[in-house]
Amino acid sequence: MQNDTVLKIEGLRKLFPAHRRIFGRIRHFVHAVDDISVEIKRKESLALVGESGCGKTTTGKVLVGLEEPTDGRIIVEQEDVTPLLYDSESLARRYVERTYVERFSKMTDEELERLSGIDRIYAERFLKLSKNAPKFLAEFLDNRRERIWQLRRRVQMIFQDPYESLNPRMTIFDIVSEPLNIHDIGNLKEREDRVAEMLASVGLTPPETFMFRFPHELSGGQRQRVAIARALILNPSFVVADEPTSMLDVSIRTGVMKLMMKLAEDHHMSYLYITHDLAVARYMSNNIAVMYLGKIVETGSTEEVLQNPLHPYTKALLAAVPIPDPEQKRKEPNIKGSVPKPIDPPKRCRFFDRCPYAVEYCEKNDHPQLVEISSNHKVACYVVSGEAK
Amino acid sequence: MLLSVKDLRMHYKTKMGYVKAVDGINFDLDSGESLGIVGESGCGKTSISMTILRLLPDNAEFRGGKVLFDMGSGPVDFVSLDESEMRHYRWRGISMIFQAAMNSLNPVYKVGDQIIEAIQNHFPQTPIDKARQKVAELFELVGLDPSRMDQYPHQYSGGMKQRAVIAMALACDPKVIIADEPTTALDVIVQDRILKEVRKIQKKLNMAMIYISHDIAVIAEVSDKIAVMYAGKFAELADSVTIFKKPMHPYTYGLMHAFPSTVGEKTDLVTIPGEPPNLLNPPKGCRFAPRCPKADEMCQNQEPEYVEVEKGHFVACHHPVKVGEVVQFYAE
Repeated sequence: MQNDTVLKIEGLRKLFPAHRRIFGRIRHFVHAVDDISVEIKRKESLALVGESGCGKTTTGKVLVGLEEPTDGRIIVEQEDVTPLLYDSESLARRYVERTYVERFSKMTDEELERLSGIDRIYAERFLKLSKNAPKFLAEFLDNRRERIWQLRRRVQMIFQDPYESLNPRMTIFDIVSEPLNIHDIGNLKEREDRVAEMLASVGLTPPETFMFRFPHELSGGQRQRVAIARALILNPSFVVADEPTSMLDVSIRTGVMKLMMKLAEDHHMSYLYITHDLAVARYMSNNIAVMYLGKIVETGSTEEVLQNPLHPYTKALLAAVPIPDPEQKRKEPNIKGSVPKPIDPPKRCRFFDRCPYAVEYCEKNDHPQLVEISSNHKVACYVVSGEAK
Repeated sequence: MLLSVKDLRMHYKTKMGYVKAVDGINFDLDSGESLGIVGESGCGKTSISMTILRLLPDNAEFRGGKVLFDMGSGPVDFVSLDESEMRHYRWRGISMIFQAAMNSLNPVYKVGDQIIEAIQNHFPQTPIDKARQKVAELFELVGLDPSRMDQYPHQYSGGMKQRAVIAMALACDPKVIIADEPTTALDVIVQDRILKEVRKIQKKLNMAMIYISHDIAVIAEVSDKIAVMYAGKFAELADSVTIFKKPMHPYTYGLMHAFPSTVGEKTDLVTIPGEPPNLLNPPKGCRFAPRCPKADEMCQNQEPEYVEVEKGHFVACHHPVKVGEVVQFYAE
């Protein structure tokens, strides 16, 4: 059961400094991602949806190592990869000390054995090394470069804009084979075969006619297919897809969406599908997490959340999506004001200022935790959970 | 008829040849009516509005057609007017809400002053207090606080800028308003508010509107009738319910079934194979023929005529889709 989890994010936070001064400490922070936890099972995909500025892209960037996490733990296939996401070794060391060494050192053997999940794996290792902290640390930090590379093979990213994400001076073959070059896989002949196979599987057939062309000779849809081929050529177990179809026209978009679903099945792969479009999320994911100002406010299976939204924000968001049918009338989105800036937000519920149902309880207490309302459907709202009367 | 466009043609001259961006467009628009033009990027939908308003870049070549506009004193053909006469009709006759609101406001002038400038340009006799009063009314109309008219654009949020641009377009009480993707850069909740505002104002002032978008769902919300544009031509035009319930052009049919929705049953989405044609050398026959599952030899060679099949329902297709027919698209 546990082994089915491809990705687990626990309490991820990412703060950006705001109003940086030349001297003196940074006092204000943009809370881009603030304590989010999600889990993706093998072959399942999670859609991360929300409006611009809610932190969905930042989450994706942290996962592929483009941004350092401020706090939190990221586990890819039963391995804590967080130390590999820090640029400097000292930060990675500090993380391991804080997360494992200091905590484990205080525990008795019995307590260590009683731990569960990923903690248990590392506790066992800690006991095996007879509680030798330096050796335990070294296991995390040795071969750092090599292990960062290994992680990159497993976690890949597809970007939004295929006009910007492909180097205009490289041929399609160079672009798609670059990961093979970097990871030194195969010789030229083998790489050629692999690239041809990959191009064929993303629908660029016959591959020979595409291999030695340049990105400017391709259309938007074809470019995005090249970007997908590049992301998948190393057979990753998990791909962060950041709005991969939002730049494409409708008639081409469905083709790319279907292709991505088929490839996920063929390669036993999962997506973290980042999108602002709830209708696209419906087709691209099994589960969905709705983000608002750095927090996940509702999560559950996609169909359930879209058909039976519980959080007032999800309800408003869904009611605001235009329906491609002139005879259907939508409900009025019930939401006040506009999105505030996430700089040093107050402790209370993030949605308080805009919420039509907010009561005094919501203002006095911290941001609510996600509470399971029905099986696999969690909501972070005091009013929905019944905690606030 | 308030606005009547007849066989409008405009091509862009490039090094490689002529891009046939607008190639024989026909439609009529009555006051109080709203026409949605939906099409994919590069199909020429923005070029139509630029051709109507004669706001064309230097490499554009007008290739014929008529734009008849009637403000009550008989139809005037925009094509035959010179630049100064044309200026008389912009803003007062037809005004436009442009795609990127953030870029349509001058950052160094107060928002109110920019609208006053537009009013005084077209009605030089307007005293300043009258103009300010008009701006305050317009702000009220689009849902902005009138006290904000003395603020600068950077003090506005994206949605507020869009509202200001709409207020500006309404400044000279136009008869027709052309909205070119005014909500594309906005989040859904803001988009929803702007769409409702636009529709409400259009109905309240009994204006005619041309709403241009690539998003069928948005078009469905604001239009009385919808034109589906493909490769420089209208493929189909009908009232919005007919377009959605009884599409006759295979492209319209494909588009309707390619669009995901959050409501209703989760149906299988259609993929239209191939890509839109390059307008430098569009296909000889029907422009959709290379991607159309119903195309035959006639479609490859002979361009279908744009005909009225029912009252108000125009289609350009040799083999229109029948009611209840299921068209199978074969993706690659």
